[in-house]
Order: sequence, then C-alpha cells, then structure tokens
Amino acid sequence: MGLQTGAGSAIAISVAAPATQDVAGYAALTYTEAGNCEKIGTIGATFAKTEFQPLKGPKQKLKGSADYGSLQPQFALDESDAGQTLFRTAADEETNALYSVRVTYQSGAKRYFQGRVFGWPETVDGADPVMMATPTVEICTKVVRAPAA
Amino acid sequence: MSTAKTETAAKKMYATRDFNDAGAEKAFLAGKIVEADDATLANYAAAGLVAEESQAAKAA
Repeated sequence: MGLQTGAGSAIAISVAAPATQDVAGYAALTYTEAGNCEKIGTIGATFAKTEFQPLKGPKQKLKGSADYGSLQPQFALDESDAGQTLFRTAADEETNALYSVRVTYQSGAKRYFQGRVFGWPETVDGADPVMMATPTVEICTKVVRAPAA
Repeated sequence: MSTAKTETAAKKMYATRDFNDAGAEKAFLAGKIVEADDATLANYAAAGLVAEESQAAKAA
C-alpha cells in the first residue's frame, strides 16, 4: 500500500499491560475503541538536540534525551461510548497507572504504546459545533510499530 | 512503573448504564448481562460500565 489518508483510522485503549514491549505483547491485549474520533494526532518520538561548537571545525550535533511524544485525539463527546469512557477513566486516574493504547491506520498498520491521559477537557464552542473532548495522551514507552498484515 | 488495574470477570457482569462499543459495534442496556470475553469486560469494568449484579442494580 502506498499513500494513505486518515480515513478509517482508529484509536483504542486497554487497562491491561503487555507482557512484553513488542508487537506480540501488545497484540495479545484486548482494546476498546473510542468512537466518534475526528483526529488522532501525531505519533512518534523526538530527541533533544545537543550541540557543541569547537573552536576549530563545524558544530557537532548529538541526539540527547528522547521524548516519546504525546497525542491529542479529538472526540465528539459521547458519554455512552465505552472507549471514550475508558479514556476519561484514564484521565481521572490519580495514580501514575499506565494504559495501553493502539492506533490503527487505514492500511491496517498499528502503533502500540503505553501512556497516561492528562485530562479530559470538554469544549462547548457555541450553539452549532458538536461538543468535543480533547484529552492529552502522553506516550511513556517506545512506540511499537506493527506493519499492515 | 505501575500499570492500570485489571479486573477479571469470572462472574456475570451487568451493564450499569446504557453504553455502546464502537469497535465491537455492540450496544448494551442498563441492568442487562454483558456478554463479552474477560479482557473486554475488564476494560468495561475499569470504565465503570459493568459491575456484578448487586452493584449494577445500585448504579442503574
């Protein structure tokens, strides 16, 4: 498969933790998909850039600390949706418990990680727009990539 | 690192309120038995959507 769009993509969450941080570990879990998702966000780690400018020679650039990143999915608020409710539960969690998250692309490829949900803000933006929920999911483990089957 | 608590569902679980599972394309009614595998029920239980009969009756 070549190019793809976001159509058909999905995000799902599980309370269970993978036995191993690999495709097999994550694929063994059961996830609950969050419905009415409009956007998922950006998945992927970034690295701090560490620079050193010697008196002689070009600037040296090293990879510093990794930040696994964060997602800010956008949902049309649906209080009857099980997946959204589980995301909200994760947001309300007052411990540092990790939840497992699976993002499925249009191609069928999957991205897995564990994360913490930092809040479940709900937006009432006027009479006409649908009420939205925009949680922030901080990614706390390496993203595991599973190719399309 | 701590992980989210997982509840097993050896007993029958009942919906505490009406809810839908978008991925499974299923809808559940408050007070009715929720037929699903243990891992799915663990997710529902963590979200407060299912409980044992006595607790579900209180919530409904």
